[in-house]
Amino acid sequence: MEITVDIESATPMFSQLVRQIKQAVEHGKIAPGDPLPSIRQLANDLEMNNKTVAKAYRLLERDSVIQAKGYRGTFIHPDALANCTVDLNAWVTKHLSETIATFRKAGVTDSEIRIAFADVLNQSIGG
Amino acid sequence: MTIQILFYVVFIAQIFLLSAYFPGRLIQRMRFIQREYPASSHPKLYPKSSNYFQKSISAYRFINTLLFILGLVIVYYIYEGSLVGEKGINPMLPWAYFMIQMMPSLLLEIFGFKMTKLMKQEDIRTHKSANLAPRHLFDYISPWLFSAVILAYLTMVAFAFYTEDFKFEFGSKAFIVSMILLVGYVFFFSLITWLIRGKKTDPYQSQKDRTKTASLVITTLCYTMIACAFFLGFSIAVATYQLKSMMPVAMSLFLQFLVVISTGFMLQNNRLEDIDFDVYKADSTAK
Repeated sequence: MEITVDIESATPMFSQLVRQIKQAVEHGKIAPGDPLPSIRQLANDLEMNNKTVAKAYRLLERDSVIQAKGYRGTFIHPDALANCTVDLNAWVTKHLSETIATFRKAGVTDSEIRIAFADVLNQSIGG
Repeated sequence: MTIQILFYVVFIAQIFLLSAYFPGRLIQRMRFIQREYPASSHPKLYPKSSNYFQKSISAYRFINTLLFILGLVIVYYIYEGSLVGEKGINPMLPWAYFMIQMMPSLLLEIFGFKMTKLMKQEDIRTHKSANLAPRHLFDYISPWLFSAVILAYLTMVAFAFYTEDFKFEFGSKAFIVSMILLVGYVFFFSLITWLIRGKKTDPYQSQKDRTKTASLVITTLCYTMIACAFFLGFSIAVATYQLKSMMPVAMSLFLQFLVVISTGFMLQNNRLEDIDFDVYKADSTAK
C-alpha cells in the first residue's frame, strides 16, 4: 500500500497523511492489526519532518484509527474501520454552528460570541 | 623461502584483483550505462553532464593504473630485499597497500554521493510517495545469516578466551579483541539500520530497486562481519601458536576475500539488466 503527499498542496501534509491512512482503512487496503512504518521511516521516505508524521499519527491515535504498542510499533486499531467514519472536525463544526445559531437568535452579537468563546477556551486551557 | 614465494603469488593476486580486475569490471559497467542509457534519453541520470561522468571514469581508470604499477614496484622492492626486515615481510604491508588501493573506490563513492545530491537538488516533483509498511532486518536477510553473524562473534570471543584459559581480565588480549570486534559490529549494524530506515539517496530509484540494493549491501555487510570475526580469531591463533610468518599471506588473502564478498558479490548479483532505468527518463513520473 503506497501513500502520496503533494508538498505544494494547500492542505497541510499531516492532514493529507491522516486522510490517506483513513481512506486506506475504509477501502480495505490496510486491515486492523496491520503494522505501520515508524515515524522516522515514513518521514524519511516522504522527505518530510518527523514532527509532521508524528502529528498525523497523534491525530489518528486520538481518533482510534491506529494504536501505538510501545517498542513493538504502531498498528491499525481493531475498531479502525468504524472510527474512520467519525470526522471530529465535521462534528465540532456542526455543534458549533448550532450553538452559534442559538446565540444569534437570542440577540448576542458576533463580537460577544468571539470574546466569550476565547474566554471559555482560555479558561479550559488554564484550568 | 616457501612462504615468501607464496606471499608473491598472493600479493600479485591482490594487485591484479583490486587494481585491475574489479576496477575493469566497474568501468565496463559504467560504460554500459553510458552506452545503453545516454544523457539524451535519460537526462536525470546525469545531473552534471555526460562529459563529467566520462571524466570521472577516466580518472578512476588512471588512478587504478598508477596503483597497479605501484603494486609491481612494491613486489620488485620485496624481491630486492629493501622491504623485507629481519623478521621477514611486515604483515602490515599488504594492508597499507590495500588502503591505498581502496582510494579510487572511495573517490567513486564520493562521486556517487555528489551525483545523488545534485539529483535531489534538481528533483522538481511535488509528489512524494512511500510504502505504508514497516521495514525490518529480516525483510532483507534470512534469520540464518543473522544467526551466523552472531555465532561468528561468539565463536571468536570463546576462542580468544580459550587461548587465555578462560581468565576473564580487563585489558587482556582476548578482552581487547572482543571489544574491538564489538565496536565493529555496532558500526556495521548502525549502517544496516541506516540502509533500512534512512533517507533515500537516489530520489528517482524505484522502491523495488532500493529494496534489492539494500538487501545486497546488508548481505555483504553480514559476510564482512563474519570474515572479520574469523580473521581476528586467526590473528589470535597466530600470536598464540607462533605462526607469525603466515601473517602477511593471511592478511593479503583476507583483504582480497573482503573485496570479493563485497564488490564481487554486488557486481555478480546487482545486474544492470534488472535495474529500472526508466525512472531517469525526462518524461518519467516516478515518485
